[in-house]
Amino acid sequence: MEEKVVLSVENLSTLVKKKFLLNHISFSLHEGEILGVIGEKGSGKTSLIKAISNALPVSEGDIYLDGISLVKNKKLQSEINLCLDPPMFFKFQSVKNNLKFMSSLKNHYNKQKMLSSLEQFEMKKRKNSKVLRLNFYEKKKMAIALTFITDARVYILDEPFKCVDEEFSLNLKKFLRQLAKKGGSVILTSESADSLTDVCDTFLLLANRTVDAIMPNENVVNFVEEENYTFIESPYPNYAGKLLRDEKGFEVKLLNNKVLLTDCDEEECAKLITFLTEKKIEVKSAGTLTDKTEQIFASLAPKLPQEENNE
Amino acid sequence: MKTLKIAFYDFKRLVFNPITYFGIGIILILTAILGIFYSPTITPAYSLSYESETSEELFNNFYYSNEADSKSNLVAIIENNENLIGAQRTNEIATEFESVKTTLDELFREIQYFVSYPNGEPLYSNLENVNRRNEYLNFVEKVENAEVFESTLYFTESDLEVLTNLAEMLSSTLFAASDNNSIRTIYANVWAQRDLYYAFTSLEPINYEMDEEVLNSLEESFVTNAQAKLDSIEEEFLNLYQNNGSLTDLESLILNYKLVAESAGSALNDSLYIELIHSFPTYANFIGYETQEEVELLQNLALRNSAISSEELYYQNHLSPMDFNKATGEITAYDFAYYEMCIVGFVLTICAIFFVYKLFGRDRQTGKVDMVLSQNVSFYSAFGGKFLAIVFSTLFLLFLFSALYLIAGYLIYGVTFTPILTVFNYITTFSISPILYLLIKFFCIELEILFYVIISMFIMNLSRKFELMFAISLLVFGAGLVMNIFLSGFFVYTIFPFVHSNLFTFFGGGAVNFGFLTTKLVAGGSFYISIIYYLVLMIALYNFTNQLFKRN
Repeated sequence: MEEKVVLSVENLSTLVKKKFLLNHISFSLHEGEILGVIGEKGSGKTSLIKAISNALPVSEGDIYLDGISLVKNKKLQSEINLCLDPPMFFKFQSVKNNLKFMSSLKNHYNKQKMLSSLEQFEMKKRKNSKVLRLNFYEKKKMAIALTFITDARVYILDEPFKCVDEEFSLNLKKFLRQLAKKGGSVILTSESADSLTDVCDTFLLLANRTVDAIMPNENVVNFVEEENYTFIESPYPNYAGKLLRDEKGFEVKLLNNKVLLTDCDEEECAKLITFLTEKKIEVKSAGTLTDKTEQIFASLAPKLPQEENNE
Repeated sequence: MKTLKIAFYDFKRLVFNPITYFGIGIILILTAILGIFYSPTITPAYSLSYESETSEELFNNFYYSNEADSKSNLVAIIENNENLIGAQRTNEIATEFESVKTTLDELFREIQYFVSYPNGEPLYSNLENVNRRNEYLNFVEKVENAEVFESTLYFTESDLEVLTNLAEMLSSTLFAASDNNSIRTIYANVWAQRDLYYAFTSLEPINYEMDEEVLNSLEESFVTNAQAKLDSIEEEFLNLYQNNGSLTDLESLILNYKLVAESAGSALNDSLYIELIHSFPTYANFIGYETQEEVELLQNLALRNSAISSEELYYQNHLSPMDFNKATGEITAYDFAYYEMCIVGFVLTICAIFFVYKLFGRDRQTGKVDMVLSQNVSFYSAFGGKFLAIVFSTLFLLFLFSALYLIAGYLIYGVTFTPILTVFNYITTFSISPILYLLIKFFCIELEILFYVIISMFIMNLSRKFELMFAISLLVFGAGLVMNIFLSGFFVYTIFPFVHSNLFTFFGGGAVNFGFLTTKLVAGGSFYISIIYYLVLMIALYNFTNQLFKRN
């Protein structure tokens, strides 16, 4: 039997000051599914989860929760719990007061649930401490605890495994899997797929504020690099790419600020860097792609198209 | 509900944090230092010029001395009022002007005849000519020296120039001649400068005769009623004196005798000016007349009328043109609290702008607004909650300081409960309790703070360069202060009814610190329309800022 769609994002765009923060994004989240949203910095991960949870206005498209539009029914937002990164709390207030205030905004604050959530995420002992005295790691745990104080249909966690220790990370993953088994749907974001492969069912790849690909966990886990990519990072990737393609005859792909080249050894790469420097193009870094996430994005990236000859 | 939750939570954040405690400490130290170096002073406007040690001394001074507060001087004011109204009725200078015109007409016709027929004999003797000249010179002197409202004939500065030029010419030519030949020479000299006479004949001074009904009403108010009030105070004084009343009570009665007499004098002058303003908007050209702001005249008139028409006989000095210290004649806790609050109002406005920066700038910058918005809170609730938090915080701090200063003032100066005479508008004055009066003033300070809060909120939402926007908000506040000090009048009070720096009031410019009431008086429109206008303006700006908050 096909799993029920809980959250459906259709053609979602967010335009702020004439700039697309999200550009026509569509995907679905099923009941009991854990979706990993991966992408580089600035790819639109945080904007996407903010738009879903009403912290950013929606300019176009719609978001449906159990088939009902969230844009038209703002009250349904209470069924989505969000944990933002970096965690921001009121520093002169205690952990307890902060969580009490935040969860009371959702209209169903429950003291027992708050305490059990703090216990679950190892923060009960610090409930009376002022946020001012917490380190980043503790604030992170506090934000995660806040997400699970109230029940919801969808839980969204922004970079939940960033800056946390291995033990906490394993505990959190275990907790999330249990939640999914009970029918909870979860969205997690990360810059790297590696930290999410043992917890997510599906991955949503974001690049340039739009969806690059949606792929099941197996495809990511079993991803085998077919090409060996060398990258040259520059503030002017388009110009550098065109030069390398036109003057050196390379097949070029672009990934954010990186120019990707295939079949390029170290010696040749050094020559290319000298060539670009002579052309007064700044080169920030160079090397081979080793990160799995980057390799996946590289394999998905289109080739730099040949320009049409006007003659 | 969520708006209120956010409001109270942010209120707690703003008020109960170490930075605010530090700020409160600084304000207290600052005001304490100012309190030491600057203490409110009693305005001596209606104090007695002669301080007597016994009732008898007071009695003798009142009846037999020539001090400013002696009976003869004070009654002379009422007599002067009577004379002024009489001058308005009889219009002597206007009659005299007609007579002088006839005389000069005769003289110049004779000169013209004499010049045209050289063999003719002069019709008038030298003596008669000199009399004619003197009659004219006396008239010009009267016009030049006439007190305001002594005449109903209104000459302008250029009119006066024509009059004095002719006077000079006649003085230098028309002297007592000894024989016919010299008369011939004199007449030839006068005739050579006949243009001065023609300029005189073309003069058209305004002859404004006031309506008899108005004059009767002024006479009744400022002569008959004032005199009756003076008589009753005097009767009470004599009664008390004969029955060995206390020196303080006797002094109060004399003070009020002085108050009524001087009020009547000033009130008649103010009333005549108001009539003049209504009839001749450009009256500033008339010689001897000073330009007067109608609003100030109306405001003063209201207070003076109240002093004259009240049937009470005061045993307390009872006049307050909107200031505590004038009301009681001594410094009280209210004076102290109010003067200290003027400084606090100024500092709190800067604090409020900082609060705006903190809630609408820093909170956005650090992601706290996003955190709140992600808890199923609408943009409107988040915005409204933050605005309310600032309202609550400033109100709380204002009342905290008021209470502290009232207590401090009570300990230093003590407290009295003399009612404050308050001008609501120029036909309504009433006495209110000083504590209520203080509350109204604090309400005005709060409104002034909110004016800058809304402006700063608007600025803060224009860009995400929040530090820069904070600096611009402070500059706008600075500009408001400068505008308040250097600009005044209809435009400023109507467009910015609460741009009245309390700091300025603190240093002595106390006339324009009453918000809407001043707006009403200056703009001359409806008090309620003024309030509606202000609220609509603020709500429109608030809504527009709300939209900006969502969009940015």
